[in-house]
Amino acid sequence: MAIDRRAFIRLGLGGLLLGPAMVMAGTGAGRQRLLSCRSDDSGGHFLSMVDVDGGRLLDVALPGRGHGLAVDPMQLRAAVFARRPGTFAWIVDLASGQVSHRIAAAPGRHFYGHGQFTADGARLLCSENDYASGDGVIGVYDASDSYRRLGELPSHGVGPHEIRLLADGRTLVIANGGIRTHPDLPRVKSNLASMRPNLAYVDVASGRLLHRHEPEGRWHQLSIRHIDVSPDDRVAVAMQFEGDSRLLPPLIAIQQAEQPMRLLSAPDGVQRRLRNYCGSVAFDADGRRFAVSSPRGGLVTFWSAGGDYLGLHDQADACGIGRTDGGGQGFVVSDGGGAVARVDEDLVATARTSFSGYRWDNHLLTLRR
Amino acid sequence: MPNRIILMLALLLSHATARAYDFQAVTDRHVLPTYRNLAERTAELDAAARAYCAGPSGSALAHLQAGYRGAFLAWQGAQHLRFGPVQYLSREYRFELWPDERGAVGRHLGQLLDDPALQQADFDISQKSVAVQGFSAMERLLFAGTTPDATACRLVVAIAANLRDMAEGIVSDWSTGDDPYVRYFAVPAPGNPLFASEAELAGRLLNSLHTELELIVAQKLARPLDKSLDRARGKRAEGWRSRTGLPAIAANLAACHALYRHAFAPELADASPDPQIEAAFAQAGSTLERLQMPLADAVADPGQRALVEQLQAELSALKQLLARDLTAALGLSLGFNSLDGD
Repeated sequence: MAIDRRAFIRLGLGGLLLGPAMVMAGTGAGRQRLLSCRSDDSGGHFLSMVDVDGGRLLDVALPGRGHGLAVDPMQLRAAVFARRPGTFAWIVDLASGQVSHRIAAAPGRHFYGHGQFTADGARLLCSENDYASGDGVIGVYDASDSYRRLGELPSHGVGPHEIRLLADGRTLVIANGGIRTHPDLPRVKSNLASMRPNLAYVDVASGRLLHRHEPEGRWHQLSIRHIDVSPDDRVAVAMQFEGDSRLLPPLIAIQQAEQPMRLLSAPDGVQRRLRNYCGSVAFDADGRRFAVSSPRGGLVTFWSAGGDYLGLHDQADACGIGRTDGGGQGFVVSDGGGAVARVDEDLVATARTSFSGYRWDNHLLTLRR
Repeated sequence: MPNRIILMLALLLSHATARAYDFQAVTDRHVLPTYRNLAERTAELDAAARAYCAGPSGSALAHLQAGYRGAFLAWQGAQHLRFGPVQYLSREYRFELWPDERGAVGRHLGQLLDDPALQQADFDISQKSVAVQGFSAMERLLFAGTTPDATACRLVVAIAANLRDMAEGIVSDWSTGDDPYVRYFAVPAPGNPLFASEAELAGRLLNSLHTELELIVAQKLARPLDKSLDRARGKRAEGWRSRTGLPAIAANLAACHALYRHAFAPELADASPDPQIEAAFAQAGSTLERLQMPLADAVADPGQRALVEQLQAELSALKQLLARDLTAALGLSLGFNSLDGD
């Protein structure tokens, strides 16, 4: 009876705040599946799982706009993070589609929109803001104990955004975007004149800073926001320029170990099209190449892991990028019009699936097959 | 045969004419007059603030409050332009912070009034929290039911000067100097670093218009309405202290309509969906006129509340006409990731 009542209360709240979660188990096996946040045309926000052939596999209604995602190593659970300055991070059981845990931001903290499970799946790491001091922190949550917050590490910068673990499982790479925000003033960037972004390497066990890297001084307004890491620990960096919109700074970088960050520019005509804004970055499955989306210019650029410009793919309002998994070293690209395009290993768009009524949000994550 | 060629030429010409957006005209007849009006009204507010604080009196306060309303409504008439110089230096948030769900304006204002820095000669409000820099903070100082004292006056004068400076800054960033924004705005073309095509710029304007309607429907009306009559929350209405909630929405709609007429109506040349869009603007305008009390009271009044709900439904329908029918007719996209990234 007590259990029934609790279940009923949860259901009641669900109906009010969350809407139904829908799962169609069994479909999509063998097809490339992807997870992404999306919005609909009537102001609803969801975490959705689909396959690239158009199968709609899962919809979880969210209390606000979602942003980044993480999946545990077993692919049993996904974590979805609220868009900054966010107050929720939810854990979704991928088999049932049920929300198993709802993590609220700790007092004095807000989420920045990205996170990672540790390699053993035991911990969830989240980029967060200590908004009174403005210091970035990485919240550490115990996945085996109802996502209890165990504590936090310093991010060694302001405005940590996307985070990634290196292959050793102990070193966390943090994109400290440099932009200070406060939940009282959502979306207001309060320190653009003095911002100093960095890429920080931090020991997860101790929180100790191993080394960090900044763009050269004249480009201190290049906000380092999104990163991906290759199997051999190269870090691809996608940035957004907060300075004078008429300048054309490099927006993409590659960095490895303790070497300095190498800023990369596309050929002039292409660089101009990026509009000083990159939205998302992903390596392909073997780490030889990476792709960077520029939604304001409506294109994706491709780069070798060594930093050579390889070409581009036109897709209006495209932002989410993931690697194609298993067979074919390509990419999957989503856009705000609902399309998901596949780019093959020759960097040619080969297929496009339209999800009517979906506005795919900034990031996607492809699942292993 | 010649007839067919003439017909083809005529078709080609009419097509070319129909799709030549005139962004220079949008700039000259809509954008710049809008910002010049904002600069003039904020300059009047600045003068009224200095006059009141130099010699406080009942009539000087009334003049200052009228100056506030005039400048605030000029800002409301510019709020739909969400691109370019108004976004430099977070100006749009510094003009007004609304909605303010966490009560930042009241809290930051209280802290600043107690801050000794306010009394120093080198006090610079543009370095303080965006929450205290604009209309939202000034409204609390002018319409609190008490006359502003000397401390409040320091802040009122500083805010008014800040508003005037920002408005003048927008006008000059658009139109003067070595590299004015109009140089990019008026000529979308490949190689233009801000707008590479007419469709992109037209889409940006349409998104601006759509976003303003969304703000009215989902925030300005929905927040005070809440779910039902007994849950109405009048003090969630924008400008409830100065009773500018409905005049603000009227200014927003007039501005949206003007932008539509300058930018998009010529492309449609009276064809669908132009008559439907015109009818929707007219219908919303007439509903607005039938509202006889301030928004904060209307949402809690059994008779008037239905009209507020009707206005909300009519504006939702107008929003749909723009998002669905106008985008289809002109081959435009509203954009999503491209306009609001992270």
